Amino acid sequence: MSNFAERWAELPDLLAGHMRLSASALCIGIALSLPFGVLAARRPKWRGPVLGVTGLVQTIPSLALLALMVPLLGGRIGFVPALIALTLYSMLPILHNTVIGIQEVDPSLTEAARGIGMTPRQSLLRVELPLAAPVILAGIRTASVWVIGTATLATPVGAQSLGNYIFLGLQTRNQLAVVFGCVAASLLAIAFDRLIHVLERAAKQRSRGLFTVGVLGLVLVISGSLWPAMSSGRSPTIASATLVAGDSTDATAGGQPSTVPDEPARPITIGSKGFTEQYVLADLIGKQLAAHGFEVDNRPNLGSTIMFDALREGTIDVCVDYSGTLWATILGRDEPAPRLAMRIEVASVLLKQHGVVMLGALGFENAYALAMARGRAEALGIQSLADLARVANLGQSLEIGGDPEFFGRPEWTRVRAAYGLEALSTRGMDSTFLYGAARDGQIDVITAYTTDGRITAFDLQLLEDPDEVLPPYDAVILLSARAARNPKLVRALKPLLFAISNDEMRAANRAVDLDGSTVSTAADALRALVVD
Amino acid sequence: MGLHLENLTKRFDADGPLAVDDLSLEIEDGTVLVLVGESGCGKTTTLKMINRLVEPSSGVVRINDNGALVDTLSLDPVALRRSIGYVFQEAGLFPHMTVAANVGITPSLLGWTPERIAARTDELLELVHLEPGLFAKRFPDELSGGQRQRVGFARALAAGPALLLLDEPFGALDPVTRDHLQTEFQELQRKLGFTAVLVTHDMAEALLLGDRIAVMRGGKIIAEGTPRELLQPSGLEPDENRAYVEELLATPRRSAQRLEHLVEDGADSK
Repeated sequence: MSNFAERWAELPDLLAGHMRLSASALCIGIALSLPFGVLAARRPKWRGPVLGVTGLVQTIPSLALLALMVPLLGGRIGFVPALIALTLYSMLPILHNTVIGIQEVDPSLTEAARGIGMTPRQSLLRVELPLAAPVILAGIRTASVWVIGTATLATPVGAQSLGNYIFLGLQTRNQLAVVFGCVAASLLAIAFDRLIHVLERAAKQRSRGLFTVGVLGLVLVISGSLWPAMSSGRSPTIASATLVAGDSTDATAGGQPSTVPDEPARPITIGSKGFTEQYVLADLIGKQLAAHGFEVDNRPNLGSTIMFDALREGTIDVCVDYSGTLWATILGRDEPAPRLAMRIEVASVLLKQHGVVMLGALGFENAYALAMARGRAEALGIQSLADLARVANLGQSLEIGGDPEFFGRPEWTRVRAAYGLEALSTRGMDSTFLYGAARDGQIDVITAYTTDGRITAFDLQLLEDPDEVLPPYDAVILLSARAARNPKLVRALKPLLFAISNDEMRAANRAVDLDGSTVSTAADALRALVVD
Repeated sequence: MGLHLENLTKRFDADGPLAVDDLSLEIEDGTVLVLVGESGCGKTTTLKMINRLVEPSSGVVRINDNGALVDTLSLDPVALRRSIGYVFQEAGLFPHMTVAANVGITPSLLGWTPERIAARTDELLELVHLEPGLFAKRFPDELSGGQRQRVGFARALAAGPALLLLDEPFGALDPVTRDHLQTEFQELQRKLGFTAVLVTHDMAEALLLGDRIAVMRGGKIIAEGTPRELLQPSGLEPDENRAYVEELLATPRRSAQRLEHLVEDGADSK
């Protein structure tokens, strides 16, 4: 399938997911904001706290607010945490405008309402809210544009949205996917903005006809977004189905022998983080499972700890993680350990403490390494981390770029201490842009993944680690407790263990990142090598 | 419906001045009482205490319902206000409702059927000389100031109240329109026989419309009587309050004298 055809085929599901999320968040946001807004307008004592709290929510960066919801909900990913975050996010403009709109009603009119014998409730419903309607609608319009835009950031917490295009596109350098996501999300936002503006005008001009036009337009846009996914038979409610699975009590019953021989055909949910290798492996696993008769659901672009929490809760069933990552983030260990010992230790703790089963290693390692453009490294005489420290300490100003996660990890602290790299300044940025920045000399040193295809393609030099301070990062398949009790599923995945070499993985990554292959094509190629 | 205001006092802020200071007044059934005074004298506050838009700090308002005096504090304030017509300065019409909806609002609050409301609305619009077919569907911002106040009168009379409260109802109108509406108000009052309490700062208007006039200053009534009584200085002590009333009467007096001269001159020249 061509890139365009692949993206086009994804559109109904992602558009429906995006609309379901945005429209639900807006509806709940309106339902909550109106009463609170009325309360704040009527009771000055409430105004400060109500506007203060919603204003505070607004100051939390939207991505952080979304990510915060996952631990707050005990590791639940998908629709629910995204819905709560977006609802909170929608409330400020609606609340604010409700308060302003009601306060701006001419006091002589509220007195007239009282004077002719309206109760406070009648005055609110018959006089104040109708007169405040244009201002309140303007608030709803602002909220809808914010929510539709922010819903693209729901992808990392596992909710389907048009953001899937953007995250996938940025990570795999697939510009078409980025454009797809941006254009679709913008069109939705513009449609909502224009149609709610029509409602505003209808309220101002007291025009019933205009009001009908606006409402019909909104109904058309919403149902038009939801309908193609529903009619194609691929239910957009997969998210809630897997959430139900997450609620079931068997999530903690980790080490029990298989009491359920063949689970009924519930879809197997594959989680993956937001970078090319993870997309390829998730696709590979999905195809492998599909070939064995499983129904598969993908949950891409999850944050690292979000993915593990989801696995522990059973919201996802299968994912690929890395031994060094688990060692540091889940076990909280910061001392080095030999490769095999680390894997055994990690597997044991995951099973005992989290009910998560490590099925085994895939065979390759995607470790962190520091890399430089070969020309620049040679010019400065740097081959190893020790050389890097020596040059930096001689007064050469050097900057190291890395994904923000890395600089928060203990191995960075350890490497920095072991080699004396304190003189380097650090800059966190998205890993997609790191390699190009190093090649073009915009940044001196980068954190690189050893399986990234761009290392060879951009002629980057991996710096040696003579003291072996950087830990091993073996790719391992992790299974939820439920998945581990399914022997058919385990049998289906067994052929993948120890089957992928560093070179094969790097080639697959390179095909996607640099040669314009789609994830699906690269996964097919890898699967052909592995299984046949 | 007669009214007894007994020792009404209103203080808006605990340590602020008295807006209304121990005011007592009786208003007979079917008469027009005008409260006249400068802005800030407490006349509007007094008016609003009658239908409990403002609650008195102390004192009682009793309505005389066929001989039985009823303390308004014993009544539900919402029901009380629905039973009393209120005409606001600059009409106070709801801008998002049609003329018909504005006029029919109190009946709709009282739960009348739509048919009855529609019939009543047409009847009232005709009463205030607005052609229903022409005006019922219009919005207030499509009307002139005089037309708006006519709708304001129709709205106040919609549920057939025995008492009408009017807060500077002609204040915002041009002189010609004001004159028309004042005349029409008198005709309506004679025709329907309601009791009215009207607030104004214009002594000429008070003399023209009031069966009795109460002059207010600093929250108190400093003179009260029929227009004739007020114009005859004999009945009142020659003190500071009398001087103030005379001051208020000066302008209408001068207009009347001037008019008299002009009429006499005109008669002479013929």
